[in-house]
Amino acid sequence: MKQMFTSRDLAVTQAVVAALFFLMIPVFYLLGVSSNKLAGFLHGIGSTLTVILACRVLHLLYPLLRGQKGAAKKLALALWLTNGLVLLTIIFGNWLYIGYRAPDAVQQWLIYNVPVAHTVVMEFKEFVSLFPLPLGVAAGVLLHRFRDNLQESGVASVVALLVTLFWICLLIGLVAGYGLSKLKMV
Amino acid sequence: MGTQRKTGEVVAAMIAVWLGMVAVAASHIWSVATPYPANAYLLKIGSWMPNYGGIGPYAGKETLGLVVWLGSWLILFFLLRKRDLVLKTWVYAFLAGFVLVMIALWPPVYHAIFGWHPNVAG
Repeated sequence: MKQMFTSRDLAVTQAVVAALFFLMIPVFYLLGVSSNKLAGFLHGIGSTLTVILACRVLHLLYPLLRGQKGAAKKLALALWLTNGLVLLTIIFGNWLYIGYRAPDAVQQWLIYNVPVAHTVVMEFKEFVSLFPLPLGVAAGVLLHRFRDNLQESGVASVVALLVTLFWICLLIGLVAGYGLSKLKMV
Repeated sequence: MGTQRKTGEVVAAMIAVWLGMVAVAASHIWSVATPYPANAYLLKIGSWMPNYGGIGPYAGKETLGLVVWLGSWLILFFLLRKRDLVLKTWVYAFLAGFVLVMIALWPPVYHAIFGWHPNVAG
């Protein structure tokens, strides 16, 4: 009997369901008692969506490195969308940071109760989360400028490196952010 | 035409990203080492942002990173765009530089030097 489902059907189902449920996590913010619900929700949903898209960007590197036709175009589109989301999420993060730093708010609570959460996790995360913006924009510009000879010039490898570092920094930001919000919601 | 482009452009983009990262890391370490002059200055240069008072010196650190990244990219682009550089060397140098910045930004490293007083100003 012919197979009823292809491996592609399963992969697409898994990706869609995983993305959907993953995106539900920041929705819990709306159930909380925070006075910064909107900023927290937008920062959470922005960072989650950014990481999901960044995973897609990383996967689109494979056909680029194999030299497949049209791979650069697909990668560029996903990359610029992710870059836009990175910028938006940084802006929402700045907005949420105002609530984090406010007197008697989360920063002071963490320093008093769980100092390492602020002095190590937050102090590292708030800077590393900025790095995907220059890394992603540089990769996008190089993809465009060298679109005619990405393979021969070696630029495809540079783009692969930039995108991989971009993805690593995004994951550090997401995991640290979720971790901190489990300790104390802004 | 893309075929005529030199690898100097690629190196310019990588160095600019790294310099932007260094600017962010250096400004933060400066504010930990000497909070009072540093934070006042960082707050001042971050004052173009809406609600910069709430964001604090972090606004200045972001601003410095942004200005150094984009400014150095522009300068390096014109300096290097006609040069063909060995990409492999620069890629590994960039990767090493990236790791160095990440280590320098890891709080236990700089707090071991400057002390563990909480940087309450952000």
